[in-house]
Amino acid sequence: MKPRNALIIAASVILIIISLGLAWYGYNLDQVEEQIFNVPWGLDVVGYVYFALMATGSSIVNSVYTIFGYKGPNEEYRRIIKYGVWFSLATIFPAWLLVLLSLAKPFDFLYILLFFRISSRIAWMAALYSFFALMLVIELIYMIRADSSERLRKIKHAELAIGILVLIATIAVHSNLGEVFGSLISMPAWYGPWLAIYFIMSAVMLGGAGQSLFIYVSKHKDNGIKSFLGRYYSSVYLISIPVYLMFLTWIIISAWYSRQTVWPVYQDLLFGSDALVFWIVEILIGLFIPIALSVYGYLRKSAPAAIASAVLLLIGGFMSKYSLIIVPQQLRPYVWLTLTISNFAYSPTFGLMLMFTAATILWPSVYALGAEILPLEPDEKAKHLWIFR
Amino acid sequence: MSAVAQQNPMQEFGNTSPCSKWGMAIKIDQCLGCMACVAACAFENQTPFWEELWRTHVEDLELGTYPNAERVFVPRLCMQCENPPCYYVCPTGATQIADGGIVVVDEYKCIGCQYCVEACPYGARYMFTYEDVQKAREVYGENTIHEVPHVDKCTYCFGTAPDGTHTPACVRTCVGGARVFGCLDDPNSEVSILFNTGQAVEINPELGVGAKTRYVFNRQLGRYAVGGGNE
Repeated sequence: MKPRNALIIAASVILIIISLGLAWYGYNLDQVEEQIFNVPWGLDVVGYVYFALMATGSSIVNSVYTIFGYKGPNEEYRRIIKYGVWFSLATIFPAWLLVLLSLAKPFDFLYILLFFRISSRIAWMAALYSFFALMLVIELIYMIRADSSERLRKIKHAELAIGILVLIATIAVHSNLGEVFGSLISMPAWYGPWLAIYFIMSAVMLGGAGQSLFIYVSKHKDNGIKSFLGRYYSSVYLISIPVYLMFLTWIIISAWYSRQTVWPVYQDLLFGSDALVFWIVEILIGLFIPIALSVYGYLRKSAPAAIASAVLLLIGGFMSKYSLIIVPQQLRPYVWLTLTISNFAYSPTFGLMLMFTAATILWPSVYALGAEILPLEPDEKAKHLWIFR
Repeated sequence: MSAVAQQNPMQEFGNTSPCSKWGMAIKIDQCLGCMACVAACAFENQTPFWEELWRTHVEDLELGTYPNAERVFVPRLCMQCENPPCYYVCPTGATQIADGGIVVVDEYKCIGCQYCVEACPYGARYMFTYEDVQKAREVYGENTIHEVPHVDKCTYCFGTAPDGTHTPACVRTCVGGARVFGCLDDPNSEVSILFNTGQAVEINPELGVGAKTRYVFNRQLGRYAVGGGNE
């Protein structure tokens, strides 16, 4: 093992330990800080949704290779696909960390599986997300083992079948996550079937952005891959951003027609106290500038343009999830003799901010550790872990 | 006594009256806004009043505009829905429908995901936090009834009535007789009559949850079909 690799592994392990410690400290701090009871789902849930969408969205982007068979002009995609699958898997860790710590009793989370209530979307979320993670592990093991086994490589149907199962799990997770929010009659701004579709488009953008950023860091010395990254991921953004914008416009227009209960939320986003964040961060920085950069990245095969676009998409995507989850809770309608729209203040506690920071540190650390110890290069033989041999 | 009966907290306190559906009617005009019900509930159920979180509280509302404005006090509590959204969303089965159709929370099974808090259209639930558990121990000492963090809500004082009758503390304390509690199985009970004659109406019936806590609106006192304490 080269000294540089050993250094990355050591740094990753140390950062993982630090992030877990920081998350636990943040959790305990959050328990004794002043609680914001009127907004039960805060930054921890926002972070969970953000990472969960990124993990599943990355998996949808991977399906272009695994199911639809696109391998790039010079088989570049084949050289990075295992990094893409590992990225999906690694991004689940911060999502799970945040969702566990969002519980008042994190160690009792197994009750969800022990006392599973089939009508609960959160119960299904736990089951489907576990299934999704399991399928990703199987997909990664298959891909690694197929590279060193002639017999496995010949079974083309197996690769396709696993890819389809992963995609089914991904769509199921998205649909269910949409319904976690969309099935609540108490929250008109979330209620309805559209949230699942919105989440899928949002996930493709976030998944593609996160994946391209991390793969670029892993492969920044390979000019062939860089050109491919520039063109391929720019085209992913150029397809997903307009569709996302269309859904967002549709949601806002339909909110206008349900003025009494939903419109106040979008009125606040469009013209109210959150308008600056919405227009500048979510729309301009998070969507329009990435479109311009992606056009450039696509035409010039420019990896830096695609990466800049990815960074902006990740920032805008986070803020859009924050708005989607927090603002409807702040402006919650109560019909009690007369319609009252609440106006609860919300700012994350210091403990919550530490938890989110910890998850954000954990995310690249887990990825970097895996990228070093897993045989993710094409035709690379497994050296360390027996399961991949 | 059978094993099932022994587990029934209502029977433990001596109430053996069978009822499949308890209900409450609140006569808005008879609520004085004295908040005695809020205090009674807070001490009966040890709610975190230090956080201003209550199982029941009274809203002071102003309806209409001058000169046709009217001030009303509206007691709020769990609607004890027949199709409770909070029950269906609970991932661990901590929210249960107990004897008499009363929605209760098993605090040991509750993991504190707060999905039910989001799902309740009436805002009747709140989180009883780790810090509240500590505070409750300070306030109530050995008599504390909440031992772990959980989501808390009104249970019509399920299993807590010390006098052997299943009558919620808020009803027993109400000085204006605004709260009428009883079994909806019995067609002659006051609450049944208020329900069946359409005097007690559901708030937000379009939600389809089948609230068993209903409200009686009557601007002329003493004109209820039965009871009401104003005859």
